[in-house]
Amino acid sequence: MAYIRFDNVVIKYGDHKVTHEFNCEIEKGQIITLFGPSGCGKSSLMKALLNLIVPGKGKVFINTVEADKYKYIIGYVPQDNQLLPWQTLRENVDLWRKESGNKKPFITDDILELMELADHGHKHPSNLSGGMQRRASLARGLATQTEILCLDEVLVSIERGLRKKIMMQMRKYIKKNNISAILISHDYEEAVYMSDRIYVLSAAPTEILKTINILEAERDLSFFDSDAFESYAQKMVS
Amino acid sequence: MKRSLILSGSTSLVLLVLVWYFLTEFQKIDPRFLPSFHQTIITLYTEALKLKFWQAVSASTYRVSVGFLCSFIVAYPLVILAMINTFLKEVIFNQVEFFRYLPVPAFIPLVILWFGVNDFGKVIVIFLGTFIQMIPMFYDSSMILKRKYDAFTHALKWKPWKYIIKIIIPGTAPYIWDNARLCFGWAWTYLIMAELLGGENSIGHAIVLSQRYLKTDVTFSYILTIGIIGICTDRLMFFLKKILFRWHT
Repeated sequence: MAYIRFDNVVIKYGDHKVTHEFNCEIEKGQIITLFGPSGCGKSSLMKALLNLIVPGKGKVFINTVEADKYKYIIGYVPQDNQLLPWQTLRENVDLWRKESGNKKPFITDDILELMELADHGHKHPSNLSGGMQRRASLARGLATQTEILCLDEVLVSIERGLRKKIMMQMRKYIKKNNISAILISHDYEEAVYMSDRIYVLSAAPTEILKTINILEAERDLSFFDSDAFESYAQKMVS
Repeated sequence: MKRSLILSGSTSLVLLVLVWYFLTEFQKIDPRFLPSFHQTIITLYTEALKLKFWQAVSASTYRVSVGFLCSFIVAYPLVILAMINTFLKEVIFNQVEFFRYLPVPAFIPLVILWFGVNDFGKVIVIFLGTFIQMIPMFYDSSMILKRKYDAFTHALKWKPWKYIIKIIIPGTAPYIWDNARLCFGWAWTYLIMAELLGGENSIGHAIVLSQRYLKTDVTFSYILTIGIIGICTDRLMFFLKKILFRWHT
C-alpha cells in the first residue's frame, strides 16, 4: 500500500496548466526523485503534497488521508533556505526539532555533525557561506521528526568536495529513520545516488516520461564510479 | 556606515554652512531676514546658557517622545491584528486610507477645542500625525516577511498567532525600528506645529516669540537645536539598532 499517492493531480496557475494528470506512488521509507527541466512543475507537485497549493483536479493522499487533513508535520527544505536570520544555526535546527515533537536534543548535535556544521552552531545565517546555509537548511529538515521529507534542490550550492559525502549521510539517515522522501533535482548524480525511484518529467504541462527504479539498496562512495551508476545516468538522459 | 558615506554626508553639511556664511558675510543681507552663521552660533550658545532654553528643549522632547510612543503602542498591535484577521484588516485599512489624506493641521483647532492647549492636546497632534503613517509602513514591512516564510510556517502547521510571535515580531523588529526612526522625525514636525499654537515652555513657543520680535537669530538657533536633537536621536537609534539587531545585515 502506497504511503503517499498523487491521484490524477492537475495543477494550474490561472490558464497555465503546469501538470497533466499526474499519478505517482511512494511507499513508506522510499526515496523518489522528480527530475525534470526548470518550470516543469516539480516544486508545484511538492507544494501540493505540503498543501501549500490546492490542485485544480485530483488529490494527494498521505497514508490514505487527503493531504489537507494530514495533521502531522512534514519536513521541508525549500529552494530558498528560509533560515531565520535572528536565530543561530543551532536554534534554527532546534526550532524544527522541537516543533515536530522530537524530544531528543542530542539529535541537533548529531545532525550538525552529519552536515559538518558542528563548529558553526553558534553563528547566525548571515555569517555563513551560501553552501553552509544550504547545509544548515538541510540539517533543519533532517532534525524534524517526520514520516515525510520534501527536499527541493537541496544540494545546489553545496561545495563540490562535500556533495558526495552529504548525499551518503543523507540517504543513510533517511533510510535509518524509515522516512518517505521526495527530492527535486536537476542533477543526475544526486538523483541516481539518492533515489530508489526516479520520475523523469517532461516540460510543462508535465507528464512522466520515464520511471527508473534504482535497484541497489546498499550504496557507498564506490557506487558513484560503478557501471550500474553510469547505466542509470544514461537511462535518464537518453 | 562606510567612512566614505559619512564623509560625503559631512561634506554636504559643510557646504551648506559655507553657502550660508558667504551669503551673509559678503552679500549684505539684512540679518532680520537671514542672520549670519557666526551670529546664530553665538545666539545658540547664549540661549544654551539659560535655564529656560533647557526647560523648553526638555519639555518638547518629552512631548514628542510621549506622542510617538503612544502612536507606536496603538499602531503596532493594530497591524498585528490586521495580519491575523482579514475582516479587521479591511476595517483598519479603510479608516487609514481615509485619514491618511487628511492634513493634521486641519485637526489642530478641534484638538484645542476638545483638549485645550495643554500637553495632552500637543501629544494628540503628534499622535494623529504619526499614528496614521505608522500603520501602512509597519504593515508593509511585516507582509514582506510573512510572504517569505508562508511555506515554512505552513509546513509546521502553525496557528497565525504563533506565526506572529515566532516569526513576524522578531523578524520585522529591525525594519519596524527603521520605520520608527523615520516616524520620530515626523513627530518633531508635528510637535512644532502644535507648539506654535500656544503653551509656554517649548521650542515652538520660543520660535513664535522670536519671530514676533524679529529676532531671527534666535529663531535660527532654535531651528538648529531641533536639527541637532534630530540628528542625535537618529544616530542613537542607528547605534542601538546595531546592538539590538546584530544579526541584521
